[in-house]
Amino acid sequence: MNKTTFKKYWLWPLVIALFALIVILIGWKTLESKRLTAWPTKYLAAEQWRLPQGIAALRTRTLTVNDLSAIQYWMTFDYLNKIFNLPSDYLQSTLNISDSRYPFLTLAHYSREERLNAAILLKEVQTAISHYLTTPKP
Amino acid sequence: MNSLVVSILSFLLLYKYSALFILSFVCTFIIPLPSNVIVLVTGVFISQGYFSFWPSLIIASVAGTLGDSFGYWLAKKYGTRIINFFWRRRRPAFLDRTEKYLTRSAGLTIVISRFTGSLGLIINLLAGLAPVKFKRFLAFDFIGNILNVLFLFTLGYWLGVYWQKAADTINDVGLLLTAAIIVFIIFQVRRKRRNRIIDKKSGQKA
Repeated sequence: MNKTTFKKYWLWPLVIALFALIVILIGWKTLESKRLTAWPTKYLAAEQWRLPQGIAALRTRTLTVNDLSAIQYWMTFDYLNKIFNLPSDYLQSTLNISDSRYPFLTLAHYSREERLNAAILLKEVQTAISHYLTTPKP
Repeated sequence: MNSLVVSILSFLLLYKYSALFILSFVCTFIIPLPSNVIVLVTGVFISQGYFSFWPSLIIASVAGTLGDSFGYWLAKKYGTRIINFFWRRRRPAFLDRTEKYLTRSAGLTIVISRFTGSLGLIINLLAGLAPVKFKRFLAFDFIGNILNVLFLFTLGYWLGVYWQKAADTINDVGLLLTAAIIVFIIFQVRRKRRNRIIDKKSGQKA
């Protein structure tokens, strides 16, 4: 790439990108220092006002027993294990899952294959996770 | 959430980075899939530690740029033939106007259109038809994609598990905006037609 091409095509985009990156980083740090990074959550989810611990859960990025309603049919067991910090075989043993694809299997797919009622499966998963999270660990 | 989005999310959770690459690539050149929602949700997954930030940023930006370039290349290679097929007698006036506009301010248009979802697809095709050089397109497209991905990752990171509420709101706002643009275009077309009729009448009188 010669000097003219660089000046013509790359210089301004790179300057703009660098400037945007600096603005984003400074903005983020400022918001972090003023503890304002959770503000969109406050406005967009009204129940956050009643669940201040929900914000704390978001800040630490590990979900708690208050976030069980966030579980959806399209989620995989692997994803649930990760976000609720569960042992990888906990849901398998609690729900007696014999499918070899576990944990890379969605709740919807599993309920379809096993001919289970999806709503009941969802409830069972929520109960199992709630039980794990509320049981004191040694 | 519609079933398409649900299937996409399951695909993303099952195949992680390969799915992110495929979806980011496909969304940009042919199928108008909800590309912004996919990147936003990836931001949520990053906040939960299920995806890593740097690989996701690189994969989403590079795949997006490759997809956009493919759209550009398609328009460059087959665009003229398609236009000649549909408008055999005369080249449509809107193409001349678009060409003039894109020659003047291609960079800004390309960068901004990355934030608009399916409008980006149209801009890729128009940039391929207009005399926008590939290097210029690639440079601005890559910058636009990085900025868009960073913006959506940040939004997803902030929203966390409550992203679905935000996605619904964003969808509603998007629908309202689309409706407003359609109404505006209809009014503009009617106004132009009325003015043309008035001009014709006044010309006949003179």
